[in-house]
Amino acid sequence: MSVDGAVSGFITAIVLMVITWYYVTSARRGKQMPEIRKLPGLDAIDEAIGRATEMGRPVLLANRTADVGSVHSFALWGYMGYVAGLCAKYDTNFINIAGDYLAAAVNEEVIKQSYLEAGRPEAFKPDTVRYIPGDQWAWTSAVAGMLKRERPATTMWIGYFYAESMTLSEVGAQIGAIQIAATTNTAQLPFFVAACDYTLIGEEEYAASAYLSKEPMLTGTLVAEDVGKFIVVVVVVLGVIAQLVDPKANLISNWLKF
Amino acid sequence: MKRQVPLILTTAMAIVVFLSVVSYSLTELQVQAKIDRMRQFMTAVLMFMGVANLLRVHGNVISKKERNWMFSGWLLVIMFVYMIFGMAVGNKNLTYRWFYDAIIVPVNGTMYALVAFYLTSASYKAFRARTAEAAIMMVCAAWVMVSNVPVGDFLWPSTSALGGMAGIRDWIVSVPNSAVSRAIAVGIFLGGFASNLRIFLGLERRHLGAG
Repeated sequence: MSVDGAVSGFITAIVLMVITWYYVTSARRGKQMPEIRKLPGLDAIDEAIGRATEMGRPVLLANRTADVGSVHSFALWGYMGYVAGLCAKYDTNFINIAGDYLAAAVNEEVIKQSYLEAGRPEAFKPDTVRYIPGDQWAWTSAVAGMLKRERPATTMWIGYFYAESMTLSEVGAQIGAIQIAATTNTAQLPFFVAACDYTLIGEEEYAASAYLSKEPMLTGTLVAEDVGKFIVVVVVVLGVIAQLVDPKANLISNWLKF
Repeated sequence: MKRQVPLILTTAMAIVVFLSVVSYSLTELQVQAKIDRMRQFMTAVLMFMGVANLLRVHGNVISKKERNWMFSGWLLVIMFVYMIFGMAVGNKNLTYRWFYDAIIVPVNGTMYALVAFYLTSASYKAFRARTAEAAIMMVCAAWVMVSNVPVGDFLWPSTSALGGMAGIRDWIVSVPNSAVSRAIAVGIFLGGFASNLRIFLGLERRHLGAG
């Protein structure tokens, strides 16, 4: 029995793994990594937390759908660790709202560890991580209520969002918060772009831990990703040329089905 | 040890899941479904912990008569009434389902409907043509909106040249819009892949408390 795309998918995965492995080992050997492009949304985090500190208002970071098995959660923890560390350093109240019970437990550990690393473990409060069951509109109305009552100066919407993106980011805009959003859901991107100050589009969401930590090995995976993108562009161009030369051959699409 | 064990488990699971996707025989064995069942078991255990925790937290609020303690009381009443009733009659019972359909569904619908108002205020901010890009976006958005309502077809019928307003709308949606969406989708796939590899190789360690 054959499965469409099984072999081509396997080969693509192996090629991408080899590229990533090459850049990670190059970084491990101390080879200079190429400069990665600036991401204004990530550069703005420090400024946004500084503003919250000056105003004496909290920083809020929330995601409803992230569970422990999701790649979005790992990206979220990259942001969370960095933001919690800065909040602990500047003595700014940090609020995290989770929509999954297991993710909430991990969030608590990540934040506690960041507070510990910043030398202020006592700054962690029992209500720093708030778990609200992830029913879409119940969760959204609870978070919107918290925004109105606690008026955070900075809000961060990181991960996969659905229609709640519009409500949350607009309520955030109404209270005058600096808003940073990151999502891979292309259907929700326009809402975040319209209502937030900074929006990380698509794969930029995943870049946080590598970009913020500036660790060469992690940066190597970002470089590998860009090389992968270049290869995809080359394949697309070759596919267009092949199709122009022989419209009936469908070379690339046939190969992708293989 | 606190960091090594989760890292080993993560890598082992990543290998199992990867092989179960690319190998036909492992897909047949439904390895992933079996792993997911472990999570279901964990959920069932945590459900009891959740009830116990809610009882403790809100019980304390009620006993100390803290601010808004009546809401905590209401929460516990609803939780136990719905839980006991559900266990007594089963989740297929019409009255049990009525509670959900008559309360949760309209409340959710109301919240969802509010999005339209938030959308209007966000659009007002987004559609101010302060730059060339914003002006292009505003024109395209206005075009798509107008062509989706009957007045669009009245102004420029789809039977006339270029398929009318609807014809140009279809071109906007299926050519430039699709091209950008697909470019973002390729980036998301590669970003997700790189991110998964970071987890797989143990480079992404924030969840273990490592910076």
